[in-house]
Amino acid sequence: MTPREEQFRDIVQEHQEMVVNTCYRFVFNREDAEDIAQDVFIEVHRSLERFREDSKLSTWIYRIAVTKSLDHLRRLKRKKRFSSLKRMIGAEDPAINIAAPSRDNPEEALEDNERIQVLQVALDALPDSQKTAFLLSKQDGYSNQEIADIMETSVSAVESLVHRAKKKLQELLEDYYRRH
Amino acid sequence: MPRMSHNDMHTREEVKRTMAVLDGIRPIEVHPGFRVRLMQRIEEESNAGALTANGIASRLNYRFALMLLLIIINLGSALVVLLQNAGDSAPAISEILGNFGDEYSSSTFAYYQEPAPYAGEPLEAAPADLQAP
Repeated sequence: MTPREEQFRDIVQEHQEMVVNTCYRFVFNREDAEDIAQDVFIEVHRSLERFREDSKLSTWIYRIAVTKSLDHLRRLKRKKRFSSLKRMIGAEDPAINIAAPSRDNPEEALEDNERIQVLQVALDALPDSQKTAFLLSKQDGYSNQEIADIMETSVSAVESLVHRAKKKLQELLEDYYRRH
Repeated sequence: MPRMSHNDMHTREEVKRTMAVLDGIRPIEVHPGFRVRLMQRIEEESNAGALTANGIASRLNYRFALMLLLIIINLGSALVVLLQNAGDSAPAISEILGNFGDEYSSSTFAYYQEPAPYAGEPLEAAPADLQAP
């Protein structure tokens, strides 16, 4: 094994848990999260020699994870739009698969699933910066400073983004539950 | 403070519970085959990359050959045209040169009148006192 390969193996070993869970926070689906994480590490492998050490290696990797997750969500959004268009013209209606957080009780799992779907719709309505700051703040292991580094902004900006995201989500969810 | 209606309370409760789901998401464990699959994908990609590079190289070779062929055809046709024109243009050039010579040697453009000796007249004899003994 070459030193480069060895270095890459160590990077994967060290960061895979955090990368997969970061992606999972965005997509709420284990398979998708692992697929995105694979893309993240392929990108890392491709660009490792170009990494300029302007930031920490971990920050750079998590930034790639966030970018790839957001890209995935955008693709999903486009797909959803296309499928609703298909529904309108009477074509097939592919189901959107969303995995719920694991629960022992199937009833609770189903309820969580529904809530996750509602949350996803609400999160989709947030701007990317608010969504990123909010979701990363919900994940263990990220300090506000780290989130700021990943987003290439200041800690105060992150705090403001999280606050605005919470407020907006609250409004969106209230609106949803009032109607349903 | 206005009293909250039952509906409002219900809405707030639902919102709270939905937001709590997000806090309740437990971290997932990475699949044991994650790294193996990743290394396979990287290997596949590097192989595909090599194939693509070969493809690009062969495509460049084709382009280069085509460019060379076009240049040769262009040069060849230019040469043929030149050779065809060479026979026609030779008299034309000598004609132009002849005309040019005639025009500038005519009296109109002459700088001076030709002196008498050149006109073929005999020279006048010098006065006797000036003649050498």
